[in-house]
Amino acid sequence: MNKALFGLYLFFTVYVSSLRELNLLLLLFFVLFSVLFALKRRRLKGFFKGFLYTALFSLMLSLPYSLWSSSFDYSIMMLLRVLNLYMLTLMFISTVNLYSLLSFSKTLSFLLVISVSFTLAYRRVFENFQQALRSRSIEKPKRQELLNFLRRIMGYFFERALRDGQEVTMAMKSRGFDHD
Amino acid sequence: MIELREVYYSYDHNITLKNISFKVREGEKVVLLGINGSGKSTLLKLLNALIFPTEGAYYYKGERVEEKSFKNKDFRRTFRREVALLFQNPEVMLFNPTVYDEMAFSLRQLGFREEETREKVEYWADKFGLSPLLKSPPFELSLGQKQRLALACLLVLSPKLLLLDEPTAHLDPKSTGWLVDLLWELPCTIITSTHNLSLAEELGDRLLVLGQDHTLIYDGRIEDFLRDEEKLLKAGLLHRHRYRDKGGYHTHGF
Ligand SMILES: Nc1ncnc2c1ncn2[C@@H]1O[C@H](COP(=O)(O)OP(=O)(O)OP(=O)(O)O)[C@@H](O)[C@H]1O
Ligand SMILES: [Mg+2]
Repeated sequence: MNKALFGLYLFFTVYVSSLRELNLLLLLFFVLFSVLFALKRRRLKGFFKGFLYTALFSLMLSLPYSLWSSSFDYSIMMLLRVLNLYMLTLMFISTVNLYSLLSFSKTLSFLLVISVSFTLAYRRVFENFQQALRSRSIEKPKRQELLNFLRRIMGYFFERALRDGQEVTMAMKSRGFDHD
Repeated sequence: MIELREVYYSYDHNITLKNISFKVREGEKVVLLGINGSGKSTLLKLLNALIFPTEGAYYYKGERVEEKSFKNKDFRRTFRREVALLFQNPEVMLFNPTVYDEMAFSLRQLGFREEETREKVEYWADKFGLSPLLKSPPFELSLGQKQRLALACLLVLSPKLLLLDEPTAHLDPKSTGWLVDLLWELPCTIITSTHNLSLAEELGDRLLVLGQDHTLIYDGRIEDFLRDEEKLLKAGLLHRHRYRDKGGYHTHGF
């Protein structure tokens, strides 16, 4: 049963990550979103947080390319893809223990661990930024101070996303992956 | 000055601090030693009231520090002014447009006049070798410079309790020596975390050791701990290896 579900999940994952049609991606987005919304009403808070982080990541990674080539279709396509994948994975994880299932495939565990630790790492840095602001603020920060803070965080993640993105791509290549 | 009573802390379900109790008196220089993941940073954040014990209690100057204590404005002001934490990653502390603004941040919040602010900032910038950089954006500095800047930002406020999370991690030997001297000059209570055994001796006179099991396994004089091979091994601070050592084992500190 689990294996069958996993097969289905894999199929959809591959399918979604090869989709380039914006309309189709958008349609899928709404379908998945409504299904999840119906399924996960009790735990929506965590869902939206993850949703937001995933969206931000994706944008940070793809925007530089878009700006460079001045075509935003690419960013939008990547955003939809990533969000669809996120929702698919969430649905799947909520029914099946992913780690134990993947123990048979090194490559997949590797990818899973990379992406999980990646998001985890970023989340912690973000938390640290917030804590540092709290620690250093004697009064409630003023608007200008908050703006500076937000600007810096965006800058920091932007740099990091670029740097890490490059590094992960190189690591994957050296291990024999090729991206399209 | 501070006291922890049977403090536990867990992230989600992972226990990171287990049954920690100790007191620190005013003016003490304490070193917090432990290997990676033993919970040093977590403990320092707890002492800075950024996170709160899941169980047990934390007292600062006899007052209990809890989440709800921070609803009290006076308490929050006093606490944030007197207790300062240097984060392990100094980058997260820097977000102002220039080094000068960065150092002036807290002073301005306290309502100091601009001349006074300038005076203090220039004094500390000079002491930290940051004077030529006052106009640069902090994120362009090298990691070691960032670490010095982050510490300077805390010292302009003359804190009473200074919490340092691996303050020498990004410093070269010369700056490390300079920092050690500086710390001994400061009149405040200091708790410094490190996983560097040889540095521990220079950073303080009292030692707290977090074990691999996240409990406090030692509290006392540094020299006694360094002579106790069993404890060192238990803390994971010694390792045995055969490399370059014909025949038997050979133990090493970090
Ligand atoms: N924000 C967080 N969420 C979940 N777990 C965390 C978080 N921060 C730390 N941990 C976990 O808590 C444990 C202790 O972490 P901590 O950073 O306190 O260790 P440390 O002694 O400072 O280590 P290091 O020497 O590497 O800095 C680690 O296992 C870490 O993975
Ligand atoms: Mg740490």
